[in-house]
Amino acid sequence: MNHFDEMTAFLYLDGQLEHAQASEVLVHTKDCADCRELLESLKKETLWLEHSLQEKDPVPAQFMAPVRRANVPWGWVTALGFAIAGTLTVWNGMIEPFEQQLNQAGFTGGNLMTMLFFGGAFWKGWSNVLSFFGFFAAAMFAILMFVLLMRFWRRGATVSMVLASFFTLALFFAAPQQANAAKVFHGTPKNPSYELPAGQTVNDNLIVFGESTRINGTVDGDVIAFSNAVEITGHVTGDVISFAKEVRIDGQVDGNVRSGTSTLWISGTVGKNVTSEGGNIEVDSKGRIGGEVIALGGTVEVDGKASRGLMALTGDTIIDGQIDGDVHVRSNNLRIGSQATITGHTSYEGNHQAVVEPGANLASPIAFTLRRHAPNYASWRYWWHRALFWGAAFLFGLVLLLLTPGFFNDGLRSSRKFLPSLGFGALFMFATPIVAAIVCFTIVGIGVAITTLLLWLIALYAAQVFVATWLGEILLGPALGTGALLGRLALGLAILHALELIPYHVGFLIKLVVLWWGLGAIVIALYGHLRWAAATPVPAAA
Amino acid sequence: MTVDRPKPEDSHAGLAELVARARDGNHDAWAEIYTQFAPGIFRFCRRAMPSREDAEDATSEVFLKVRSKLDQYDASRPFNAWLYRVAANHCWDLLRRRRVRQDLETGDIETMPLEHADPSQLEKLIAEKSREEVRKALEQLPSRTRMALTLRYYSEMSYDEIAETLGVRRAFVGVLLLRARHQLREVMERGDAALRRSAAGSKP
Repeated sequence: MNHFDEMTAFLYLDGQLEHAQASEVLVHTKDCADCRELLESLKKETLWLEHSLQEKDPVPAQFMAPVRRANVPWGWVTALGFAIAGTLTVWNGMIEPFEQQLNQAGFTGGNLMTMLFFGGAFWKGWSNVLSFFGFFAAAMFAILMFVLLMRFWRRGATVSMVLASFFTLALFFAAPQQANAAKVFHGTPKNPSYELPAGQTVNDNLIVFGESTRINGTVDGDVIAFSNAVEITGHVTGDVISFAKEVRIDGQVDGNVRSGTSTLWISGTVGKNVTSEGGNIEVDSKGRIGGEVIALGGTVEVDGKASRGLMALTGDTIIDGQIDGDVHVRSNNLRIGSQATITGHTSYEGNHQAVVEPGANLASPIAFTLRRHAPNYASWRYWWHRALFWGAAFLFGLVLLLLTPGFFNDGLRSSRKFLPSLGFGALFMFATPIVAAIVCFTIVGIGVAITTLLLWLIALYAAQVFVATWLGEILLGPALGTGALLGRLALGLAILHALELIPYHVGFLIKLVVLWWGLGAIVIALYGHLRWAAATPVPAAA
Repeated sequence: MTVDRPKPEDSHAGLAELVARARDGNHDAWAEIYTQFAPGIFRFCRRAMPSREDAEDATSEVFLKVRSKLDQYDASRPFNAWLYRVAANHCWDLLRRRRVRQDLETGDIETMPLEHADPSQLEKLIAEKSREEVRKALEQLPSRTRMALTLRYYSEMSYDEIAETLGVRRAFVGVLLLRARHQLREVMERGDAALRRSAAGSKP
């Protein structure tokens, strides 16, 4: 055989020759030093090429880890710009003076927060009250919606951005006009308190921010008061809504009285309902309530007359007046004095039997339920409720999974890191409300705080979903696909809910661990999500 | 020799699970895949593309493409092979689209004479030139030549895979590769200008 050419040698080395041909090469090579040399050098060249091409030469940083290319997120920048501009505008124009008044009136944000959250009065007349700080809640909502829209329609970012901007702008123009739709009094250091002298009339809604509010004259509209003390001896034709330490109503209110106060004292006449949250409420023997008395928290004492019954969810309830209508009480104690007359049905759930003094006049015997601290396992209703709770949690998980499968998986993934999750969960469970409360010390922060707290509550509820799915995967193996994942969620939830029934605080401890664990998993997943969202180019032209 | 480019034995159950999670939209899983493969894919693109900027763009585009195509990935096959396949196809698409005139794209390579290698000269070349010089020389090669060398000696693809990626007959792959090695040797010995001359001279 003659010397073979380079092509043959090359194909031989690459194992591309037919068997017979390869044998020929092999045989020839044994005798031919030249061809052996050629094979050797070709082999060396192959290795040389592999080494050279495969050598780890430096790689740009963006390919070492998922880092975003220098790609400016215009949507975010614009939204942020709007938010900052809006905040500054409103802060300078409205909030700062408003806050000063409020501080003079003895209110710090923390107080206000409590009242907002626990004061049902907030929801009445909101078009007036809300225009100031509710603006921020609305703005937060707009931003939140914008972010959500961005996430869902990445390519439509511009559209959602424009929509959100319009919404925000509309709010700018809407807010001050709403605020002007009432007579507003702002206290000043020289003149901190508001007083409407007897004989004078305000023919509009009245909003007062001041040290104290005294209405001796007539207000033909609602009175909304942020003050330390509110005293009404005159006549209010609308509602009285107050956030105050002490409210006294000696005069006449034709509408409702709603208050978030520590003390509400009524010795005058109220045309409609009285609603009070927090602290004590006392209807004096001269007090006349045209509607129902609704008392939440603290102590309620009704010595006067309530025409449409009483509902009390309080620590202590004392009735020593006349109540036309039904009485529903959930209290630690109920005392019915000798002057009491109740024309309707009386139901009472509490820790102790009601004390009924001789002379009390009750149309029907008290339907008493001893408050149970342990669930009634024998009752089918109890198990039905448990099943409902399970179903609700499952439904929540289902929606979460279908809406944000990516986030669901992230949460599930981070829930596998038990200790970090537990730590973060415990931290965020306590830190979030504290931070929210601190943020509330500025009025602007209230919107942020409300949003944060709502998200926090949702996260607390969602915590069980991730832990349950994790548990299901431990038992049934990793899930591939949505259906399998849902099955694991259902099973895990059932087990968790069953475990939480274990008595002697064990169930409670399990519940706590699940809360921390799941919350931590959510926090870690959210962190990863945000970091990732900022760190990868959006596949716009996939 | 250590190569960061994933070998087939890496594509075990862990990777499969990672891919499955990334496909379900898990960002962490995707980030992990990115971290694991991006350097390798970048180096691949760097070899296949004529400039660093091209390689950077190509790498980003490959990962965008992979991300959107994840659901088309057949989990029974090795992931890294699929990934490199996507990268190779993408780079080859890019190169073809902006085919440059002096590139030796067409079948005329087949007709080019293969000079018989002088083993001693080749050995001398191997001994003298650094690996970096090899990579530099690679940049100066025509697209298809460079691509063929990259597929074979970086990605270690089989003749079948190379034929499919480049859209040539399988029987032609050997010729292509050997010819590519000759061109590389020429560039290394005499520089870029020599290659141009030899390419131009060979045209009918």
